[in-house]
Amino acid sequence: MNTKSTIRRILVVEDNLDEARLILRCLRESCAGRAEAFLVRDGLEALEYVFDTNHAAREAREMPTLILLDLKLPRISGLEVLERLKAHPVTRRIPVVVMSSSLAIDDVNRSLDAGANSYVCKPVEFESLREFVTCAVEYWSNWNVTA
Amino acid sequence: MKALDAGANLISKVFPFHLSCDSNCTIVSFGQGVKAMRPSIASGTGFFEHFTISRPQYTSSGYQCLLDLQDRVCWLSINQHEGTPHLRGQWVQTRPGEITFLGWPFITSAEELVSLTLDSSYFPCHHPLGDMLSMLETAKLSAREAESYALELREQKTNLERANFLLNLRYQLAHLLSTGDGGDEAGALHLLCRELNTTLAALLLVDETQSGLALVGLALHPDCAEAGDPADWVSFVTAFVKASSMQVGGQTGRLHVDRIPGGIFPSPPGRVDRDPAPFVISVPVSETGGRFLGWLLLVGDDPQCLEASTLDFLKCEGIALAEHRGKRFALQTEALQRVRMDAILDSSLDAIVTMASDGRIAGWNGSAERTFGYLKEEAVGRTVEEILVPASQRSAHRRGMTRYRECGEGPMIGSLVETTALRKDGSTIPVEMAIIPFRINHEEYFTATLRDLTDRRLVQERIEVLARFPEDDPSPVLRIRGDGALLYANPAARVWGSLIPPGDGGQVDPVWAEKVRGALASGKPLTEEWHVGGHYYLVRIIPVSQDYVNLYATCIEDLKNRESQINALNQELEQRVEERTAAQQETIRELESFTYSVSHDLRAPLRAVNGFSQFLLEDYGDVLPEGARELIADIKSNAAKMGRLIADLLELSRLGQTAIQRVEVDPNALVEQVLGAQRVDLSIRNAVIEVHKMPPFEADPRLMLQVYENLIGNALKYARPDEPPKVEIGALAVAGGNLYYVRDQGIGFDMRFHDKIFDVFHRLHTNDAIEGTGVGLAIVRRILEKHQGAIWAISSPEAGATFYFHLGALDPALTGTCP
Repeated sequence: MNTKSTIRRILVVEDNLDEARLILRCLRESCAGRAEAFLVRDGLEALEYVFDTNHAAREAREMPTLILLDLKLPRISGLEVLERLKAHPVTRRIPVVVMSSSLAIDDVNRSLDAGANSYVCKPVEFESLREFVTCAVEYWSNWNVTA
Repeated sequence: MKALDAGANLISKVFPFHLSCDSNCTIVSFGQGVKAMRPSIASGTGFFEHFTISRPQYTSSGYQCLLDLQDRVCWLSINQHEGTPHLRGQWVQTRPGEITFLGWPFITSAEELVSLTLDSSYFPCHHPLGDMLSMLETAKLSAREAESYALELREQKTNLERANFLLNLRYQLAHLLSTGDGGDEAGALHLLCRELNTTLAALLLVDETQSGLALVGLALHPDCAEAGDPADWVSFVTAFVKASSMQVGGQTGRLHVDRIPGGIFPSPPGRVDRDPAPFVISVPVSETGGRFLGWLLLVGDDPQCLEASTLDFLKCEGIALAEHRGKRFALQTEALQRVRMDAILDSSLDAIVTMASDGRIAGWNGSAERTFGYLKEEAVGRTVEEILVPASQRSAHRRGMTRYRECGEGPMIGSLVETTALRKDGSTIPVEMAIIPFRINHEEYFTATLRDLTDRRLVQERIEVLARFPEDDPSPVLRIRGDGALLYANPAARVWGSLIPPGDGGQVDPVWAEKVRGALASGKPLTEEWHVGGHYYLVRIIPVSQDYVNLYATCIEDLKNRESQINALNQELEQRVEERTAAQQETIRELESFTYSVSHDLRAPLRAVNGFSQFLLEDYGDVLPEGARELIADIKSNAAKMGRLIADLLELSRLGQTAIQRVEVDPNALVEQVLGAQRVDLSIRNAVIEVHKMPPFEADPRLMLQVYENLIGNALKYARPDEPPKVEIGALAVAGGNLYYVRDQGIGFDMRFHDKIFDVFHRLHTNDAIEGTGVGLAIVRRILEKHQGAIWAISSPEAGATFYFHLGALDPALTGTCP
């Protein structure tokens, strides 16, 4: 299956609405017309979206092709979401890019250990952020999600 | 010999245990007590014919030798004190119940024995520690006193005996003459007779008319009961004078000895058939200056009773009597004798006090001065009761004196008693005292020899205390033989009950016996912890001979309890430490969590500010005026700056928490990495970087990279605006290590602000063109401090700055200098 022609579904997990707006704008600019983004505001919502086959927001078989995951989330942390995704055979192949403000080496290591495909430290400068997001989406869009 | 002994009678009374030797160890004189102890002793014989002294052995304290008196042993030690050896010692008894002798013999060198003064004393008998008696007696005289005393003795020793005898003789004669004027000639002649051991003594003096001799007095030896009627002797003397044609003239008066039967002399009463025949010694008596006074006739059995020296004395010096009937003469001789006597008395180690019959002190020797504190001048004339007898004993003293006067005997007389005596300072001391009465000039005197027993008492007490050990020891003390037989168990050992076999010789526990054998075999003390009778003991087994050991046990139950308490406390402590550590880790974890929150939550709004400003520019930039766009750019750059600030602060706080990992790091590689990775912007105005070869250091490479990054970054940042930046990087070898430096030619700073540049958020330069958070140098300093190193800078405005740093300890004096 040629993924390049497929409309990509990107799940953005971000509790901070301002942050979410920045990321969504980045996505809109970098993948205009080629991807649709869906925002959830905490870890539980993220897991429901992925694992609930009757989720109102998506078709049963339309799993996200990329997940941009914040670590610090209400209810269920980003790290736990990551672990749950990577523990499940259906979801473990979905690329997860952790996007965090944290510079802590522990967060980086834990995230990578849990199976994160990328770790992006969100820069303060918007230009930089846009650059990072564009890079990440471009890169992981080439990942054969159905393989 | 008889005459000599008779003459020395007085001395030997005062010093019954007196023994003097010359430097050849020939005995010069001795007291009656020594004679009684060694009947064979005689003047002129060698000291070593009667006594043996073991070969002196040199020890750390001096010479030691053993004086063996057959059944008694005298232990002597010669102590070298201030270069003058003096000998001290003690007579020690070896047979129970016998009198022994304590003495302090004096010796001027190890070889020369000068005088040995001994005094009888009782020593405690049946002592439980018989073999421990070799105790020390404190020397009574200092070395100096002993030396001067020995010197004096040496001067006197050759003529002391003779002089004393002759003095005595002279005294008797003087006394005779001085009392001849209506006095007690008979009494004086009696004394002379007895002292010289002659049958008869008679005095004939030139009569008033200077023409004939008159018989002034005549005395017979009291023991010569068979000597016959004195009247017969008077007629014999008269006849003898006539027959011998005794001269009245002074010049012809010479001492001569006549044999009675051989000549023309009449036979003395009751002596006709005696063999050897009696003799008559005629001694001329003359005044000083030569005036002849008369004759002293001595009749005896054997002319040898007078020693040659006595005869010489009588011959050569005559009896130089001046004012023979006056008191002055008597006083002179008395004074002379007293000087001699005092020399002898003062040489005694014991206090010798002579008391007249009225209780007044007549003699007080040097030792008495030292012992009781009174000088002779103070003591003489006062009563014994007043200055020596403690108040509590005065009435008893008085009763004793009265009783002696009445019946001639008393409990104190003639025996050795222990009592107490008063000293000048009011204290009392235990003394050993012997009182010997004697008569001079028909006056009764008492000589008291007193010895300070304080030292001996102390020694005795110590022995007694020692004797009670180990009986009094509250811990078990055992003596066990190699075969396991119990030789001794002290009362405290009874706490072990049946483990201690009843009676001596019983077998101890086989386990103990094995330990005893082990200790004996190794010859080394064994210390172990035993559990005996339900208690813990620290047991020390000490081999004290080849056959047996001493076992000392100390109950350590308390210690054991304390040990377990300590263990419990230690456990508790460990637990507390664990709790504390956990609490601390919790704090650290919280801090990390806080740091995480800060990093996450503070940066997010900044990102929003920056991002939305960008939205504004992008979405509405074309409708905004130029001024508004510039303002938006300012908002963005400020947000970005604050982001860096937060990042730096996080870095600084993280440094406090992370442990550094030291490995050998090549600073050249680090610098290369900084420059190569373009972590600093080298393109700025054609910067010139000069890197010297640097030695490696032990450090955390990641942190040191940051150090170089910050320092090189600063060097470029603070370059002078008018010329390209020039940076020099290198190291200097200094005492104790290496000093690394980063030098620039930049704008520099005033050294007054040196310390501030390392403070957080502190920037010296207000130039907005120079970017920086003010945290960089603080991070550098924190990193170096974590490596036990330091950093400082040397600079001046517009003259560049050099930053020196080192890792690990370095001479503190170097810090802050410009090497």
